[in-house]
Amino acid sequence: MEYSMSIKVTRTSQKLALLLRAVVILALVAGLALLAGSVLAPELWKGWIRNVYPQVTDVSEWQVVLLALLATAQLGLTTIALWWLARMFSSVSGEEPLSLEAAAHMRRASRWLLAATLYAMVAQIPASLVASLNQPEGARFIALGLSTSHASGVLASLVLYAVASIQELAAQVRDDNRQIV
Amino acid sequence: MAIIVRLDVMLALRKMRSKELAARIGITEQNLSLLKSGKVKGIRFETLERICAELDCQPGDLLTFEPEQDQD
Repeated sequence: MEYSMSIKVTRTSQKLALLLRAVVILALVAGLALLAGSVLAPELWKGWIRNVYPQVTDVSEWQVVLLALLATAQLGLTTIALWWLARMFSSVSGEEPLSLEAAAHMRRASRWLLAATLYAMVAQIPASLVASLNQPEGARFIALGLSTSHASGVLASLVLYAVASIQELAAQVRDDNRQIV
Repeated sequence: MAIIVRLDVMLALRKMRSKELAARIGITEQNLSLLKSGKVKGIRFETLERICAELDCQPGDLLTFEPEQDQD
């Protein structure tokens, strides 16, 4: 029973690790595409910016590049979190599912996810400022809002951190048990 | 450690090899070797019971307490 469960955990973890690695690669490609798109096809970006900030009428190319950099940084932080999650699943799919290494990877993932979420909250300020810089005086603005996705991100990172702590404790208990014959 | 494992002495008295005892009590030779050298954190009552049954001895024949000397 325990053996078949262990095999199931190993196989599921291998699949998740593979899936997350694929997502990380896609995110890297998307990041590059975002940056390249801001330089090569700024009109696409301008349309998107006008959708997000309807009050913005004039957007120059340097603003597009700056906004692309801000968006890419957000994507980068999330990608790092996903990368550590992939590493965690790789560790779990190894010989030792309950290892300190897997717990450490999960803790790192939770920290990066929290950083990505906090960045997403705070980055609204520079993003809105950059988007509205070409507006006439009095029409420039800064925006800050909290959404359910931000709350979900913070909650997910805290849950990950808690699970990592539990996993660390479980790994220590397992190590102790191994030394009892 | 203050608890000394005297399993090797009992094995010698009973003229039994570690390999044979490990097979009889159902633990690996590696674990029995760790137990003999005292490099374990503990021993299960179940294991102790099986060793005592196989070697026909008491737990006290296998484990002794020797207070550690203070270094200072």
